[in-house]
Amino acid sequence: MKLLTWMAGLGLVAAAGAAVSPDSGKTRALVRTVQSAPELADRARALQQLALVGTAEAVPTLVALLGDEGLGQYARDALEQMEDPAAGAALRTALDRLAGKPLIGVVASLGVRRDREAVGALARLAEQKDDSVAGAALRALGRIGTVEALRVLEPALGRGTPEVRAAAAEGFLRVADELRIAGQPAESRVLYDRVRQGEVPGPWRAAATRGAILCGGVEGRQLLLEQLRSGRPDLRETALGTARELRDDQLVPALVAELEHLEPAWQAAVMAVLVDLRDDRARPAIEQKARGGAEVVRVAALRALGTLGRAQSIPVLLQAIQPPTSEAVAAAALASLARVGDPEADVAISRALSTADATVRMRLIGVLGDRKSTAAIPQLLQLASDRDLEVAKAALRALGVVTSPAGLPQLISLATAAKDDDVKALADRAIVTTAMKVLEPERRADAVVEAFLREKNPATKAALLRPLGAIMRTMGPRHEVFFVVQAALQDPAREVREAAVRCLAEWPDATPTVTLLTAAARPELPAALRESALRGAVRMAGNVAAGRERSPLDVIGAFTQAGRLARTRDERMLVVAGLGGVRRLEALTLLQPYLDDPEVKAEAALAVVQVAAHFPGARSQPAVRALLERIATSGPDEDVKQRAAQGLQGGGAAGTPKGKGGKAGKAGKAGAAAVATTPAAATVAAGALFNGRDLGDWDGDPGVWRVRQGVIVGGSLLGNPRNEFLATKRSYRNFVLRLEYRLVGSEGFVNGGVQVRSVRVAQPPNEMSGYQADIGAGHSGSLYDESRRKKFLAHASEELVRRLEKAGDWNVYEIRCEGPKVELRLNGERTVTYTEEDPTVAADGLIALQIHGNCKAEIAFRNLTLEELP
Amino acid sequence: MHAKSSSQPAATRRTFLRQSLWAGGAILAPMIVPARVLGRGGGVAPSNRIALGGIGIGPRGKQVLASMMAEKDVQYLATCDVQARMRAEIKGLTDEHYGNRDCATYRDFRELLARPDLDAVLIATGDRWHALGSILAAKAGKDVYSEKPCGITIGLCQAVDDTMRRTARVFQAGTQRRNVPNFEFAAHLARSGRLGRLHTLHASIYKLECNYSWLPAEPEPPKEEIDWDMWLGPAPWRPFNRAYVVDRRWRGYYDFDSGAKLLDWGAHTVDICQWANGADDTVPVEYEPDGGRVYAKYANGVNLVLRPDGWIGQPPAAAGAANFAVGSTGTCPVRFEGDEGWVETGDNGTVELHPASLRQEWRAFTMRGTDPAKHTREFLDCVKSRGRPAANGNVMRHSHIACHAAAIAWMLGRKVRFDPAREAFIDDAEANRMRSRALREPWQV
Repeated sequence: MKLLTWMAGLGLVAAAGAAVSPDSGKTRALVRTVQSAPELADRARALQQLALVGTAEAVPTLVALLGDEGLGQYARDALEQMEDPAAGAALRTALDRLAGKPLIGVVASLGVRRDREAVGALARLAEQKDDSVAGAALRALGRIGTVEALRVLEPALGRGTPEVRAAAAEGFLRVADELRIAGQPAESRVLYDRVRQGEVPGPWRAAATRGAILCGGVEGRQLLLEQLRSGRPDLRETALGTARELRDDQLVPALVAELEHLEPAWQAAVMAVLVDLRDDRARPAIEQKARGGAEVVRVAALRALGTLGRAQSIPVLLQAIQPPTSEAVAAAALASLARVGDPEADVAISRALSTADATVRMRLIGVLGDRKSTAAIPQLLQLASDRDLEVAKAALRALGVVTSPAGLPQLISLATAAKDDDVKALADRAIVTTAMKVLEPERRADAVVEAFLREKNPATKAALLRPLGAIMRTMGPRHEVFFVVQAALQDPAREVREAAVRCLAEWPDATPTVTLLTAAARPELPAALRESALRGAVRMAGNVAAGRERSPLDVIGAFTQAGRLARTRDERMLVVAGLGGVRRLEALTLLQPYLDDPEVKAEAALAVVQVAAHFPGARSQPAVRALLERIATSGPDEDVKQRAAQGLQGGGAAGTPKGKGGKAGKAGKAGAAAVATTPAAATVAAGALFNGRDLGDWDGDPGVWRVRQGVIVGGSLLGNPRNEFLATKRSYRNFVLRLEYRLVGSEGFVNGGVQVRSVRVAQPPNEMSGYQADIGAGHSGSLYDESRRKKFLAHASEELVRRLEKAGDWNVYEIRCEGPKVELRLNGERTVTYTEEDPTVAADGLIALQIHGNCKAEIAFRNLTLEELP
Repeated sequence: MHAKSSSQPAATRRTFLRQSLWAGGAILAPMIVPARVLGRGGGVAPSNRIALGGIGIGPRGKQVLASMMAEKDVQYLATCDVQARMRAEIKGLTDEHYGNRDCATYRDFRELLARPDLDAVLIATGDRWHALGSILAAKAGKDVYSEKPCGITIGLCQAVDDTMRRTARVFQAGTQRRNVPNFEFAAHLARSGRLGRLHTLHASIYKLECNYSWLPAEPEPPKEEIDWDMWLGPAPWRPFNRAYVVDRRWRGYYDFDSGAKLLDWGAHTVDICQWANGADDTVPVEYEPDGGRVYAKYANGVNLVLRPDGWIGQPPAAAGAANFAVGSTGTCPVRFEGDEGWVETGDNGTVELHPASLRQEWRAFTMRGTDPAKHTREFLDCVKSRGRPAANGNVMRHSHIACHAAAIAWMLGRKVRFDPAREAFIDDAEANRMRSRALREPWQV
């Protein structure tokens, strides 16, 4: 008991200082609620508020609830928080009448309150047979931390069950730690040693040892070393952890000296400590260990040199990658070579490079890249034209990382001199990444452009257009660069002219459209290049026509010219499909001649009805009428015939596509309202999402979506160039959506789907983002995340879907969205359930029907009903 | 039949490292040390296998667990859940991974913690359990990876850190953005003075809300199916409703969630701000709520703004729209401003900054902010080396306290001042009482 005598009056217990928040008014009102509210939840809430503002007036009400199965803890919380001594007195009194869990709760609260007056009562409870009560009392005594409390805790360290001893040790150590942190290491050390002597469970013995070491001084360091020398893994681990916390200037030399006495694995562990201590005095010993010996030690030492190493450590690291060497050793050395912070290290590595054999050389080249070593650039440039292609490639890879824009001329000469395709590609990539490092975006292409203009050799000039195009695609197009490439179309050398066509055909915006069409008209151009040029021009004009790009381009003029140039069937098909996406009446005039072209007349008819669908008012124009009538009577495709007929009457069109303004939409609706004659319209079910007549409540491209005999139809068996969606106009959160679908198709990725909780995206405007209940191409019944995570969130069993789905026929889909859960059912059976794990994913959004792009397919939907859930 | 079913339990660190210590004298029978692990000098070499257990592994837990199980030096041996369905799911998942049937299941996590052969536990329960689970695990001698928020009150966050120090356990909070390159880069720019003198840090948070209601009472299922008492744990009692458990609809409730939802993102984003400000050992001293935002200030004069809106590329919030911030840098954005430049970054890895010359140090990475792979690897390395991981107890303590203090200011609707040394509010008793709540009996820290 001697240790306790000097502890009297140490002032262990922090004085309870802050003022109370006496709000009598609130307290009285809350007490009334607690006493008389009919709903338990309201009473509980009132108690929780009392915990924040309650005064002693509430104590009698609170005490009466202690031990209550539902509200007991709420009442105790309010008493635990209240600083008024009346609360403490009430809790102490309750000790006598409570048992079991409620008693444990009150004991814990007295500990939290650091109630000195409870020590006597808690001491008695600490002797109880019930371990959980005794343990709680001992822990509470540790929190109170007075000398009297320690007097109870001390004998309990060596008495009773492990649970009770653990609680006593925990309480005892709480006091010791507090003393140490308060700046009384000598006193706390006595307490730690007392725990260390006791028969306490392992974690607490380790905690006591740590505390004793952290008391510091020579004794602390010695105790730490003793743990390392003990040979016991548990004690050694305590030493490793504590070594990182201890502030002791002599610790590093002591640990270094200790290395020799440890088994290999433990040497590695101590070296990891030395790394964390960042002390250069450890370096010589670690360099020594990195030279050889047990692999586990050598690897750890090599790794440590990544942090602790300097230029003088480089030879040791280099030696470790010389064959014969193990993979682990070489990997550790290479990783550290890349990390050593000393700038002199670059020089040492470069020097080694010139004498190394092929394998080592490749590795060191990689290291120089990882180090972003600018000093090594000249050497890397030299290696990039090495006769050994693998060496050249490694050097180019590194150069892509390290070269600054000043090195672009050298990279350019490398790229133009390259013979091997892989080397060419790597050199191009190095040029692009280096060019992108130029800070001013408008100057990024300058170096390549200058080289191009200066260059006389046609082959080299042609080669330079590759990286130039890549830079434009990466950083975005620039007019002055376009003019340079355009001028190259007049170059005397044929190979330069052709490279320029290739470059412009891939241009990221519509600027080269007319230029490409002019180039395509040249008779000398090889057929393949002419098609590239046409394809590029049609893509560009199509983008402008669809609003994906703003441009002053004369779209109709471009298509007119493209039409004149198109020779092969593929080329004519390109033009026809492109025209189908043009929302201009003039497109119809351009399409007319193709209706007589046996190879593309079906697609041309489809394009006509697609364009016409956007202009319901135009059916009164004789020319348009004549076109539609011709298709309606003698069209090559049944669906297209019907759509032409519908176009003549003005029915079934969808509402205006997003962003297209109100006028066309109103016209569409007015036209739609005019023909409410289909039979399905008479019997619209409750909760129906589709009125069976028209698409006035929907939003989608009317050239793609229409109503046919009371059924929503999207896409065409003649081809769908891109994804298209028909979306609701409002959002839905929790619901069950039921519908029937039928998907038929012949070519490409025959697929569609149903979006839920989705949004339209700004660019490209035809796409949507969100959950998709997939349909077709082997994915029916599965949940895909469209345009967002772009992966299947849950995939249905193939075997199950094969059994359930009637291909090419009507199938019933049920989509249930509730909270984080999305569930799909196909023809009555559940195919997937998905629970959203990412809280940032939208929990509501539009519902939409999809037909996929790049396929010849048609999708139909009917009997769409929606039951909203809370 | 499982083809690869192994009859022998896997040898792990614990089975031969810890047998002497955790036995604590004669409490446990000594285990047999496989002869092959004995080192030449007679000492026992530390093995490379870490024996792992998991508590409350749900959606996020599965992601973290997957990243741990992908590491060859981990063996997942035991799983605990109050729901039978989840016990079976996690066992199925891990047994399939290992090609055996070894994963033991528990309803009461104390039985899992009592296993002497586990080195570390992954705690991925709901918020209400994180702190107590971590503390009891540490007292049982386990290292801990705990999902964030690590404590639903200031008091619990303090207790977690104190216990980790006292028991010398390795602790990693699940605030993995400390180990995600673009966040590291942004913090580096701020700390190294590349932005000039720092003046304002911005942390994204959820739209704040606090729910005190109860869902309607439903009959309690058998404990074996769902152990409601254990699900509640240290949280106040309320009647059972399946939605809390099965659908995990506990977010936003005062009793179950942390700081009016502020910590959901704040535990990450404020943490990165603390790091950027070199403030891992302190917290702001003032917190003033203003609508959905909280304006805080450090003693060194640097401002910290917690806000759900105003991020680069974030569409203007429509009424009733998304309750969190997503800008062009993705979810969980942070922004640091100094008098010579600024940087903003988020989960998709994009870094926006000024001046453009700062970008020269940046190498694009494809790792997402939600990816825990580097963070869990660091934890595992520290379990072996006894080092201190990036999101250790001290770091967690301060960033979480900053979040809680901001949430308390918002809940009280008034400016509060805070003393970082005492970790107490100044002259505001009500705020101080909000620092802790009594745990439901018999739970204690």
